[in-house]
Amino acid sequence: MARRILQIDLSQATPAYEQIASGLRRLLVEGAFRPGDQLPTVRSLAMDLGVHHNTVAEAYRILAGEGWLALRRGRGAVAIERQAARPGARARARFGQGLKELVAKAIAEGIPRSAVKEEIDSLDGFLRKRQ
Amino acid sequence: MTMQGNFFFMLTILMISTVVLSGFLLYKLPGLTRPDIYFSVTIRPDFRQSESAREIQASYRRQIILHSLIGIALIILAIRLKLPGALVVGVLWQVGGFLAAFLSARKKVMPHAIEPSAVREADLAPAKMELPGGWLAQAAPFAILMVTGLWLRMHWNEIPDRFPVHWGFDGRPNGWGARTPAGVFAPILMGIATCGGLFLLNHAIAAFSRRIRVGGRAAAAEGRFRHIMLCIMLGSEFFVALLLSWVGLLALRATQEGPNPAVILLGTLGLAAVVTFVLIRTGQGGTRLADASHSAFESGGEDTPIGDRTPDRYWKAGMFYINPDDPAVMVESRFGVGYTLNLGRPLAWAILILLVVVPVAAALLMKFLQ
Repeated sequence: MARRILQIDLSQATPAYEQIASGLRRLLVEGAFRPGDQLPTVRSLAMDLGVHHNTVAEAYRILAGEGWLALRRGRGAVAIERQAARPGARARARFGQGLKELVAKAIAEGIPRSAVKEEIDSLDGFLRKRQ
Repeated sequence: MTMQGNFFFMLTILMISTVVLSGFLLYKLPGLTRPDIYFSVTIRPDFRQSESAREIQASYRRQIILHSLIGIALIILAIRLKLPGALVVGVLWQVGGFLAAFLSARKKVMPHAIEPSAVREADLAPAKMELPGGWLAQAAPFAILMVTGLWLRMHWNEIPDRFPVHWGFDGRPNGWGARTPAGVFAPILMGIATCGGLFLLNHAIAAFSRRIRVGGRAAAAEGRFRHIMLCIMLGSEFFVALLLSWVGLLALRATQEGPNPAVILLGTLGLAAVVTFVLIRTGQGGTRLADASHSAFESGGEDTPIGDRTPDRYWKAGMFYINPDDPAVMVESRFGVGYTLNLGRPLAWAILILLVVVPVAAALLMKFLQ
């Protein structure tokens, strides 16, 4: 099982709740949580990350809206079996566009093209694992 | 040696030992904090090895030695002049000297302050709240006090109408209690209130403090450190429960003789020495534990130090943490070994009130009802 470590950077422009939702989503996609697994309570995760409770609660709400989590009063957030989404053509185009922008940003920041390619190739193993 | 001479001798030993023990701990403190925190300021760990850092530490330590020696001299003077009320001046001198030395050192370190890393990590594995000894050990101090209360109730008729509760330096009683529910049960209630406050602190450390390091030896050492702190707190609860149960049971003694000061002296000194040794051996956040070298606590290749994941600007005078935006109720002390309250959280104030105000109110109640 993958290690369940969540990392955020409070100096980044991306809001903390988006970083938390994004980090948790990555762990859920990787299979770090199985259906029925409990996630930390809003209070405990907020304390470890040093952010406001509402920030974590918002991230949990986003993931619950996407069908990753069930939020139950008194039990906190629980990972659930998620039905595979059926993306439309627009979603796929948006993903392609976002990926290109990310690669362009990496190159603009001076990351060598070979390193970028290496990273993209390493995703192959990740995708196979999900299948 | 007369009874009065005996009491003075015991008191001298107690006060001087207190100053020596605390002086030793204060002397060692700069080396016990996390490697990237120096005199309550976040710094690069390599700053500690610099010439200016060594000079700041040497100056601080010189002042601690000087003020501790003055404190001891004042205690001896108070004893010689037979002014027991002035004994506390020696301890207060040391405290004042420490504050001056600390604030001066902190001021010199501040120009070298560095913004700690904004990266935050959390281990999402279920965190178990483990109170040492489980709920049985946690309930034991309260059970001791309640059994004592029950015993006093069962032997109510054996309690004299007026009994000594406080003794002077000459060993003669100078405070009396009456056989009323408030007079007899006040020490028990005071014990329950104090243990309640300590239990809340223990619970707050276990449930409302941040795990600073995630993974690796540093995280394991931090876990052990937290457990040791919880054990010390539980030990203090037992100490308070036994002491106040004993005080409560004194009502049943027909004699006017005070408790043996040697027992109190040795007990208190022994406990203080053990706690001091453990704190020095552990270091803040477990940084000095055997399996955790100092390097394991350094930034791990990051450019900026991790510190204790609290911003410097919320530390007032380097000692009081007041951050309403931080959900942690307990945070690691910046200049000390252990935890301190985040005074920006309402729960912290509730704990503080229970810990200080309630026992003081119970003590005052006991005094007024005499």
